[in-house]
Parts: sequence; structure tokens; C-alpha cells
Amino acid sequence: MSAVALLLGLLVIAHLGSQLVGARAAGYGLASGAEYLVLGVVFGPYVLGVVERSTIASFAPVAAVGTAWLTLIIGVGYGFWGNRRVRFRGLVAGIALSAVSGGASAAAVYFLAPYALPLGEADRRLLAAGVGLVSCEMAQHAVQWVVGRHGAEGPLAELVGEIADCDDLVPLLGLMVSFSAVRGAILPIGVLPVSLQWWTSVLGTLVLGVALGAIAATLLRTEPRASDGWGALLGASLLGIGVAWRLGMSPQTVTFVLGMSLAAFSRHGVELRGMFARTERPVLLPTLVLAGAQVKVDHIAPFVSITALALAVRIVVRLAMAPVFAGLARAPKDIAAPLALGLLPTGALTIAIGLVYAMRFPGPVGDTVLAVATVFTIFGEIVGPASLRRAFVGAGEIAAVPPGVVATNARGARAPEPMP
Amino acid sequence: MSGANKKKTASQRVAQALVMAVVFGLMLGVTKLAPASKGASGVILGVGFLLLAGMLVSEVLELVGLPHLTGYLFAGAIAGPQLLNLVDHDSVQRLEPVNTLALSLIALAGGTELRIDLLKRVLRSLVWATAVQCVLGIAVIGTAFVAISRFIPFTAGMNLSALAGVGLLWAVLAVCRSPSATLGIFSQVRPDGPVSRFSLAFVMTSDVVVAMLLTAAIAVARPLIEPAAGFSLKDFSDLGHEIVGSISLGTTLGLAVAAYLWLIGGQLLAVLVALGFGLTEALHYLRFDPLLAFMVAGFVVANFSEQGEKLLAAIEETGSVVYVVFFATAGAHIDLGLVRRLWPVALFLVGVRITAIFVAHRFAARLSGEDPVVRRWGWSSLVSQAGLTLGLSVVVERAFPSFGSGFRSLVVANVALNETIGPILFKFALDRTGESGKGTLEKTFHESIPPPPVAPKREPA
Repeated sequence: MSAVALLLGLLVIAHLGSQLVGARAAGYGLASGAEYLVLGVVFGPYVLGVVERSTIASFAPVAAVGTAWLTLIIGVGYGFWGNRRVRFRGLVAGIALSAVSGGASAAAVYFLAPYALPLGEADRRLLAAGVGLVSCEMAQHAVQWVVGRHGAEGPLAELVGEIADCDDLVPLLGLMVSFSAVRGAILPIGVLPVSLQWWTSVLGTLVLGVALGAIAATLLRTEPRASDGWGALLGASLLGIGVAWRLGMSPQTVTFVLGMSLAAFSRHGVELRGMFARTERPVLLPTLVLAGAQVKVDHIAPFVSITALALAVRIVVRLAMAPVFAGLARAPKDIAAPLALGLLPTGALTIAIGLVYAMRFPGPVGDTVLAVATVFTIFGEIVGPASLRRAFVGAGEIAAVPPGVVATNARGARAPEPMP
Repeated sequence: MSGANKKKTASQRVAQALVMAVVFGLMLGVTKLAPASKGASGVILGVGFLLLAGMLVSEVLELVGLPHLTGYLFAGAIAGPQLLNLVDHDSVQRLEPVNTLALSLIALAGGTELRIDLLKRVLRSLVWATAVQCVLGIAVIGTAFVAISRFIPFTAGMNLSALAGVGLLWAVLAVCRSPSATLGIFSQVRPDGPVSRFSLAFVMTSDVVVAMLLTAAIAVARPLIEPAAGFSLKDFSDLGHEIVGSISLGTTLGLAVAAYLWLIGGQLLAVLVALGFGLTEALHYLRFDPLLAFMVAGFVVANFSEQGEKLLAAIEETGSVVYVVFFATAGAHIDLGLVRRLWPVALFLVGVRITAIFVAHRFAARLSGEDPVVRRWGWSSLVSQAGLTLGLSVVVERAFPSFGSGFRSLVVANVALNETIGPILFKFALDRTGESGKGTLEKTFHESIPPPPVAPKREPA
């Protein structure tokens, strides 16, 4: 069977599954998305074996472009919650949560990894960095889902939304440094990078992203509508991804910076965010399926301890920081526990980083990072939205209602439809 | 870019020139720093660069009134392996799936544009034009080919009957048109009027006619070229299978797309991309013609459901990407060395072809009582040739391996010239007739078609 036909078939199954599971599970507080990841795991080469390893390998470029496109979408919308700019405290809170969570996980893994996996010093650092990067994010979708479905409205909902938006900066900058610091690793597309100093590579990543964003914005300026400029947007993005790969830089960071720069320079900012948001799901689904298929569940034993450790650190950090956030939003302190668990969901960015790591650093390091990202995503989807809802109820931003009754927000208004 | 039809200010032009310099400079720098490109990175880099370069070069050429397609072609030729080698040969070859996707979307758009109202209105012109273009075109172009055969390397040593056979094959390929070039010009200038209506209907329907003609030509030419071979009808059986299969699958696909649009409607772009990649592969496997199947699918959606406008709007949104990638890749494919070597013969044959098209069109237009403006300018859309002709030349190459390679090289050189000249002529004609910018794609062919003229009642004697 051809690789293209297989992927399309899997996507159709995933789409149908999503329609069924999503509709049934909606009442139980699950945000749709992880089912594609699970589907990839089940049909992948390490469980049912419907998809062979060689087939998965042939999709590496698709996955790599997909992850870079996802970070482009994140970049275009960075610093915005809905259609308004995030406030300074939201920005700081997001970056702080992300940095502390990532840093603590990385440190814990660095010191305890030798007990779980026999790794050299360089791989140990790389693993610690990778686990740290996938520990940073809190998924925007989970917040949007709870806010949209239950009509949460108030300072806590706003703050959590802003945190979820702003925490993406840290892992993407970290990814850039990881790519720049480790030279000569096998790239997913088999290109040998030129020998650049790490700081040249970091600088190059940022300059390339800013320059291509400015170029796309310049080309869009002559268009009456941003949607007429897809050619310029796609061209700039693919050029950035291609250049970054060839020079061994992080394409995901280049497109993230490109997105930020584009949103800053273009007069079509609002329209652009809407346009890119529409492309997220078609790109995310195959990326999730491919990521799931790459998770080596047949050799899970060595990864279990690291995954458990990283998850524990992630929970502890959130438990420690949740009271601060509750205080910032002037919410009761007793919501700290559900809020901490509500900050657990991870999403597109975490899986993207896990997948990129698995492709860029094949072997135990990449496999472990992807496994950790997958567990975070599934665990977060199960625990997160329901806990977040409880936190919002505790803060009085959702009216507590018995099951089956239409939810209303704190002002008694009927909740809007869930976000797509 | 759609904004191209508006006047741009000097500062916008300067900004575009700067951006062009940066993009070319960046690409030159990268290819110098890391020349290795084996693998997908070359393709990704190539597509990104061709998209930007195509758009920017087309903006520059717009200053002298050239169509955007010509800009895309030039960008591809300049960046391709023959000149600057910014997009190398390997990457150009690997761009094939992207091209396939582009072609399937172009065919789908073409089918969506063809409305039964339109076909009914231009049916008489269509029949006359097809008949005269085929008969006169094949006779004139085939004769010209035989006449200059002594200058064509691969015909050396052939006797007159073999030359006649090769000339027949050549002439059939010469009556082939380019749906993609026609739709590409439409996408840029948004025309509305009799010339654009005639062009659209003629060029879109000529695909089937040429496929049938080529099969017949191969069957007739084989005994002329290889006296030991007899006349065989097997090729017709294969062709029948291909055409009927393509139409059947295309109809099914069209109904499925219409049902999807009606029931779900969301994520249409993703569905189209999946169809473009997945179904083209399946159609190739079944030996059906993807171009015909997609065109039929578009036709079914547009004419037998109420979802045509929705589909067309979605495809139009891809226009700023699809045409640039398709034609810039075509430009990168142009073998400039070959054109340099064969240009005198190729130029002569192109000249004869254009003359034959012009004369045949004037004659057919007179016979069908065509509108004066169509009579004068309708021929301009029939000059372009592109991927379809190249695809058919591969069929000839496979059927006649003894001279097929040289034959195909000459076809490539001719298509390179026709691909460059054709869009320029067509855009010039649309500008001169005042049809440019008179409508959107939808409005042009669906809403603005005037009702058929009512025959005046005969006065009683």
C-alpha cells in the first residue's frame, strides 16, 4: 500500500473517530484531540503494525513541515487572547510558569536520568533539555474549550488564557538553543549542516524569522485582503523552513519568529490570525497521528521512570505556582489545587517538540522525549479540562449547574457554543 | 497576486524590488554555504523560493504588460538548474507531486467553470472550431514538418512514408492546448466577454479530442514508420477504457464532493489537498486520466448540485499558490540548452503552428457566424501549450522508442516557446477586447452569460 493512501486512510478513520468520541465525550469534559495521538500509537509499527517503520520515516518531511506550520500559527497569535493583547502580568505569568516548569523538569531529569538510562554526558544534557522543553506548555485549546463550553468569564479565566498564550515563547527559544548547540546530528532529511558557531546559529534563526516575516508583510501590503496573499505567506514560511534545515537551525523557531514578525508588521493582523487558525486542525491531525505512530511503546520500560519523574515535577511546580495565580486573579485560595491540575493540559506545541526531537535526535533521547510528550498530552486531556472547570466554578466564574442543565456564566448568560 | 490589477505606487515597487534582492541574495547565500540538497529540504526550499520569486518577477514583468504566468516561468527558468541553479535538478524532479496536486486543482477549477449554459451557447462555434482546427491544423503543420525534416536530426534516414507518420504525430501534438495556462490568465485578469467564453469552452474540451486524435494517429502512423507492424485497434480499446473510466470516476468523485459540501462543508481545502494527492495516485494506478477525471468532477459539482460556487471559491483561494508553483516549476524544467540547440527548427515550427491556428480560427469563425470580436481575437488562447502536451509526448516516446527521445526533445523546445508566447498573446487579446477585469471567475461565466438570442419571427408574406 502506498504511503500517501495509508496516511489518508488513517486520517479518515481518525476523523470519524473524533466525530464519534468527541460528540459522546463532550459532556464529560474531554477536549477533543488526543484521540488522534492514540490512534497513531495503536496503528503504528510498535502496536498493531498497520503502518511500517519505513512508511513513517518517509513522512518525516511532512511531519517536520507540519510542526513548523503549527509554530507559525502560534507565532501569529502570540501575545493575543481572543482579539485583544495580553496584559503584562499575563505575559510574565506565562513565561514564568513555562520557565520554572521546564527548568525544574530539566534539572530533575539531568540528575536522575543516569539511574534510568545509560547515557553519555552530551545525551544526558540533550535529554534533560528535551524533557524540559516538553514540560513548559499549557495548551490554549483546553482553556478555550472550557471557556467556550461553559462560558467562563472573569479575571481567572482571562489570566489562565493569557498564561496559555504566552508560555510558548520559552520552549521555542529553548528548541532554538538545543538545535544550535548540538552540531552534526542526523537531520530528518539527511542534510549535513554547515559548521556554524552556536551563537551564529541562534542569531541566524532570529534574523531569518524577522526578515521573512517582514518580507511576507511587505508582499501582503499590496493585497486588499490577507487571504489573497497565501502565496506570499506559504512562500516565506517554506523558504524559512528550508533554509533553517539546510543550515541545521530550528525551523520551528524560525516560523514562530516569522509569525510574530508578520503579525507585528502587517496591517492585516486580525485577519491573519483568523486565516491561520483555520489551517491549524488540518495540519495538527496528521502531525498527531504521525507522532503517535513514532512512540516506541514496545520498549517503554526504560522511559517510564523518566516520564513519571517529569510528570511529578510538572504537577509539583503547578501546585506551587497555582496559589500565586489565584492571588493575581483575586480568586479564593482554595481553588489552587484544581487550578494546578487545570494548568496541566499540553497540546500542539508539546507534541510538535516531541516529534521534532524524535526526528532530530533519533535514539533513546528522542524516543524518551516523544514518549514524555505523549503521556503529558493524554494525561493532561483527561485531567485538565475538568479540573479547570472546577477552578472556574470555585472562583465564581461559572455558575455551578447539575448535569443536563445548560451552563451559564457568572452573570447568568447562556454559555456560547464550544470553540471549533 | 490579485492585487496586481491595481496600480501600485512607486514606494510599493521599490519595496518589491528590495524584497526580490533579499530573497535572491538569501537563496544564493544558502546554496553557497550548504550546497548539498539531497532529500526533502531541497524541495521545501525550492517551493518556498519559487513561490516568492515567481510572485516578485511577475510583478516586475507586469510593468511592461506581461502576464503573471510569464513571470512565474521566467523565475523558474532563472532559478532553475540551467542558469543560477538555486533550485537544482534533483529538487526540480522531486517537485513532481506538488505539480500533480496543482494540476488536479487546476483541472477541478476548469471543470467547475464549464457550465451547461455556456456549452450550449458556444456549441456551434465549438464544433466548427474543433473540426477546422484539427483538419487544417494537422494538414498544414504535418506538411511543414515533413518539408523541413532534413534539418531535424532524429528524422535522418527516414523514408517519405515514415516521415509522413512522424509528421502526423507531430501535427496532432501541435493541436493540443493548455487548460492550465488559460485558467492561469483567467485567475489574473478576471475576464468577461465572448472571447474568454469561447476560449474557456474550447480549451477545456479539447483535452478529450486530442487524446482520441493521438490514439488514432499512433495507430495510423505505426505501419507507416514500422512497415512490419500492422494496423491495430488495441490502442483504441485502451483509450476507451481510459476515457470511460476517467469520466465514471470523475462523476463519482464530483457527486462525493457535492455531498461533502452539502453535508459537512468544513475543512474543504484539506479535503481538496487530500483528493489531489491521494486520488491522483489511485487514478494513475488504474491508468485513468487524472486531468479528465478532475475536470468531470468539477463539471458535475457545478452543474448537478448547488455547491459549485462554494467549491470554486475554495479553489480560487488556492490560486495564488497553485499557478505560481505550477508554472515556476515548469520554468525550472525548461531545458534551455536544448532550446539553444534546436531553436531555428523550433521557431519555424512554432511560427507555422501559430499561422495555422490563426487561419483555421478565422475560417471556422466565419463558418459558425461567430461574433466579430471572437473572429478577430479568439485564436490567441489556442497558442499556449504546457504539461498536457509534454505528457502526450511521453506517450509517443514510449510507442516509438527508435526516435521517441529526439521527438520528445523537439516537443520540449516547442512547448517552451509556446508556453512563453501563448499567455502573452492571450492576455494582450483580453486587454485589447476590453474583457480584462470585467468580472470575477464566477460572475464571468455563470451569471453574465446572456440568454440565447431569440430567433426573430418571420414576417408573414
